[in-house]
Amino acid sequence: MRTIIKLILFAAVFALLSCQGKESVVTRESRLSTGHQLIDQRRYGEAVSYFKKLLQADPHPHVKMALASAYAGRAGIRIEKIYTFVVLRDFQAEAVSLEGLSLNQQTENLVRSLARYAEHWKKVPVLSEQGRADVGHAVEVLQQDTNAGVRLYSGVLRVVLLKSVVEQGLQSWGQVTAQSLCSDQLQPYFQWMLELTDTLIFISRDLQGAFPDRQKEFAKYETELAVFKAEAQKIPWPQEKICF
Amino acid sequence: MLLRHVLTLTVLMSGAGVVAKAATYSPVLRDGGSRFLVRSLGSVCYSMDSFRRGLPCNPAFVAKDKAPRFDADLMLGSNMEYLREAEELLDGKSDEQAVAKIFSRREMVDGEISIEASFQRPTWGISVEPYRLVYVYQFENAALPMVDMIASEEQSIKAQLASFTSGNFYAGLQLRYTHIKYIGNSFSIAEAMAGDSDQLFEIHNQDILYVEPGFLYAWEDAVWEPQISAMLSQWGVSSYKSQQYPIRPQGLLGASIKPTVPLGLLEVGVQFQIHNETENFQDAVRAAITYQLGLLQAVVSGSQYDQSVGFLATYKSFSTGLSYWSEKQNKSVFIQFGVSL
Repeated sequence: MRTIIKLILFAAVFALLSCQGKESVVTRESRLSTGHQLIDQRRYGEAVSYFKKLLQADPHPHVKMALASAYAGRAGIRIEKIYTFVVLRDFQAEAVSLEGLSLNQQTENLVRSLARYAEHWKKVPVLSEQGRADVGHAVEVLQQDTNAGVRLYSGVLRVVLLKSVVEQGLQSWGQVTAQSLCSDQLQPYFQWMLELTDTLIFISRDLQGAFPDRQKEFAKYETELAVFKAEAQKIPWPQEKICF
Repeated sequence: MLLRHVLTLTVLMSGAGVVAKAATYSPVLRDGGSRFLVRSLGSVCYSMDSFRRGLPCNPAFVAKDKAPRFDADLMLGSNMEYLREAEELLDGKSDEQAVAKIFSRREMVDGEISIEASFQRPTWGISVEPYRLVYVYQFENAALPMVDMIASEEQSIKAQLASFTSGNFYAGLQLRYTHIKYIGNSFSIAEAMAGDSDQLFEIHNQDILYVEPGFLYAWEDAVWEPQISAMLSQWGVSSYKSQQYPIRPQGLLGASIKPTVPLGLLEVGVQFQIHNETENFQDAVRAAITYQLGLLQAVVSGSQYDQSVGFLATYKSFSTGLSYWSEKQNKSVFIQFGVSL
């Protein structure tokens, strides 16, 4: 009987020791994981609501990226194809036939590079209006954070927005140019071009945050784009209607 | 040039979704039992003694087992190709190609390789594990891939001392020193591709000394040889605090019986494993059955989260075993080769 009592005492001591310093069982990772599973089940609306609440309690970069990814997922954006990214870093120009054209080496390389990039550009989804709103929200969520990963993700999402805005503008341009072209019709396109410049400025800022060791390089782009925008805004728009 | 970078970002888009599970660093990774026993029996190895390789999980059993023995074991897990990748990461080769490989994967990985030698005498035992490599990888969030991974290389030495009092009561102490070199982090694809990604693959070195007492009371003269055991494992001191290898003691209370069967040796065990993440009763329970007939020994064990089935075949001094372990979204096979003298 004594032995059994001793054993029970041992058991009680062990239970106490093993539970000593009990921390919160629910960690940030486990909370994130709950929301990630909603995304993986394509329950984006629930994931957005879940991460919004979580963000109020825990404004960690991972939570911000998770909320942004829920918006992005709802907009139809997924990030994969990482292999391609790496291949691109060690870029080898494809053999594009440029015979008959008198281009210098630099231009030839540029044309080849653009052909390669154009292939990737095609993979960027064009968003619906709702999708653009979602990605806009995602970018808003990420905008105040200085974490390099957050900045890179923000840059990627802005590129998606950029493509959608470009595509919409080009479609509309195609319709306009079918008729005669007047200056009042052109003005919105001028504004559109300025908006695109703004997006490029934001992307260059994101890249500065994403790659701190190349901050100067991207800051230079930002300055050049800002100068370009300022110069463009100085151009006086004709008061009278001019048609072409 | 900005256009080039903008376009570079574009190639991160598109693809299909996958389903993933929450990532955790399982206490199994930090367990001090012989690897094949732990992978086959799980925590029940602390209270069963018919399925043997290396030193017993519970040091109190050293005093119960009177026969001296020497075991040398090699355990290989599935996912060997990933273990090579883990080894490269631990050698500091975390370049873009390695990162690309990590994020190109869409399955969970749980790989392990271990070499261990142990020597046991009545009342004491010593074991050396000069090399153990573990790689655990989990993936989630199809919209922005998030990876939780740990790759670790360990060297361990452990000593067990045990004694008995009042006949059937055994008490033992295990001292276990482990040096761990590891990379472990939870990060998104965006962080891995950003400029400061080197921090994510920073190699850490940690030293841990575990002090793990164990107790056993065995009614050896009773028909079914019932025994109950208690153990405090993973209690000790560490060179520094880390999320991957924390000091999180766990209490283990278990019992086993050997019901009489007409042929062979049957043992049934149950274990309650209590630690600071145990939320309810079901989380703590694990049961196992082993059955030995001649050269062959079969084992089945399970909890509400995972199951394992395996066998161990012994011929003269040589043994080989296979263990299949599965949980909801992850499965692994472990093969063991051993020599006993």
